[in-house]
Amino acid sequence: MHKHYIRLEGGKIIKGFSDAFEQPEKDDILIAEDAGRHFELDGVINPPLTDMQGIALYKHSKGKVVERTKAEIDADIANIPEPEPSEMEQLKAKVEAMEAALVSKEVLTEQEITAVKSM
Amino acid sequence: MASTNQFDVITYIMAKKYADRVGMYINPSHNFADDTARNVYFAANETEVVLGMFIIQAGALLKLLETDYSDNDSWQDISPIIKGDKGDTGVGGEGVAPGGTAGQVLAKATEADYDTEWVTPAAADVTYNNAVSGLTADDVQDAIDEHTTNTTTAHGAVSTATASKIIIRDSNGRAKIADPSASDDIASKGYVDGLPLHGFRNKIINGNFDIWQRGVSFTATGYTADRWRLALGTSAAVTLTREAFALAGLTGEPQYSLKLNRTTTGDTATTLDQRIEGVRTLANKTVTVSFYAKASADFDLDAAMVQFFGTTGSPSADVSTSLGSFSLTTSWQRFTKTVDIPSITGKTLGDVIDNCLILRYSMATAASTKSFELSQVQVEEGAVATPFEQRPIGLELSLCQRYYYRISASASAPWTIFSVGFIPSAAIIVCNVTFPVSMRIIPTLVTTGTANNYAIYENGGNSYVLSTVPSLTAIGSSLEQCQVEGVSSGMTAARAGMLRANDSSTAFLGFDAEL
Repeated sequence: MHKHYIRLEGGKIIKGFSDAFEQPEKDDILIAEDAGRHFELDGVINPPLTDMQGIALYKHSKGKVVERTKAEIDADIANIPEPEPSEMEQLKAKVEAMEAALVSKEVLTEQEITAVKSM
Repeated sequence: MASTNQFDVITYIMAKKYADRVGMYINPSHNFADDTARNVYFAANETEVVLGMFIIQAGALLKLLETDYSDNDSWQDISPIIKGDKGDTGVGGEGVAPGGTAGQVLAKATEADYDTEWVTPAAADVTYNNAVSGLTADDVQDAIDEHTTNTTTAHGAVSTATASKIIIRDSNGRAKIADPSASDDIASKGYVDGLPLHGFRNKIINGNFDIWQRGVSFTATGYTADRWRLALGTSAAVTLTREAFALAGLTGEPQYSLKLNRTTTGDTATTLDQRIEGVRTLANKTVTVSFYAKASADFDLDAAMVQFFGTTGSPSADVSTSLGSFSLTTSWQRFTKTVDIPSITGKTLGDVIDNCLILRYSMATAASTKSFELSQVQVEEGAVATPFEQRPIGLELSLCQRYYYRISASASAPWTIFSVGFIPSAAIIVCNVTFPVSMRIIPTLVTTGTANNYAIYENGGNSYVLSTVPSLTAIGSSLEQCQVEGVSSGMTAARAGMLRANDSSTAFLGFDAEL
């Protein structure tokens, strides 16, 4: 028989594991004894604890593992920082800035730039 | 009781003791009830009626009282001693045909009644045994009795495969036969064993110890050779290793054995299990366990079949069926044991799907610090231990991979690529790993536990060492594939990348779905 633990971050469950595979750290919380070899919640073995964006789906409240509400999850999604622009996006921005500079400096007209881009 | 005329043929005579006299009663009217003396002649005294007395009736001389009836108080029927007149001579019978000679027998000549003749039988019709003579009925009965109670050679029966002999069981209840030829001939065990037997008799996976995905040497509780789980006794110390056979080392030519060497006895037994998926397996069936084993020194290895009903909820308690103790010596021996696995009627499963039937070897503390080796372990339905089922090694590996799949680096491949994925942000790579076979459950990811054994190789040539060990994201994962994440920093988002070993011969990703 094995023990199952969860690891919290701000009350949200970010990890669940069985001592068959990993030993608990100081702040990990024991949620089941005499349990199976694999971590499980409500009879589901190795259930998803986060969604595709890494948002926690469960929290530890009043000594129990409970699902987080949609409002709580949506709030986390809203706080996800904008991803950095990709290399392509950065390159595109640089090109557009250069085009604007060429026009403003009257080196090339917009028609000439369009013609160059269509070549 | 007919006859009424004492002057006719006397057919019924009674005698009894009457009062103080012995009398003769010649029945003329059939009236005995009142014991009256009517029509009865009474002798004056006993001397007048004596044994051997003769009376004459109707001209016949009758001999009476050959038996003494003088002490009888009731009427005695003495009619049988009365004989009637000789009858007329009857019609002559057909008789037997005259003539004949010694040795001839009487036979029907035609279908007509009494039409017989003497004939000499052909030699093939009659077997003479001149040695037999003067037999009595008792002699014949004795001969029959001796024959039917003969337990070894009745009818010349033998237990060996001898032509034209009746089969008799030997002292073990067995008998032998020659190899069959016709389609309806009986086949011997040896003949059947030599045939390509039907597959998948063996419920044990990796019973030949060919598959060792996790390594070849272990000292801690956990899975060792594929599907074989070691559980150390309290305070015990063991080394479990893969051992190689020399060619022609053992019947069936196994390549490896499993060796368990206990170096510290500890306080409780050390066990070695194989958990056969599903407690329904072989329930209520007769099961035969067979295996080869030897030890560093003689000791008794215990074994049992345990029905485990699962975890969480309210599963029924384990049911253990002992296989007994096997006396291991320093030489390889094949052991077999047949037991009945109990029914699971009325039992309750746990909430988690991890119920199973367990084959458990148990090295008791009494065995102290000895070692033992196992080879060709088989658990099959039926009361007979058939030869070990040697499945193709690729098939055996596939069977193992339902429970554990591992991608490993090695000394010759320290940059082994585990998977290819994409980098959604500067800190993470998400990779997809497709399993070679569907796994029993969404597995638990097992790693070395050392983050810098792993690295992300980004499209563009940069390599980033992981800051934490790879992890499995259950969402999006299934029994056929899963998503593995690697965390680092400084990567370029939206690039492709690879999760690989970081110049490590020991790095691996293990996907564990074991029971």
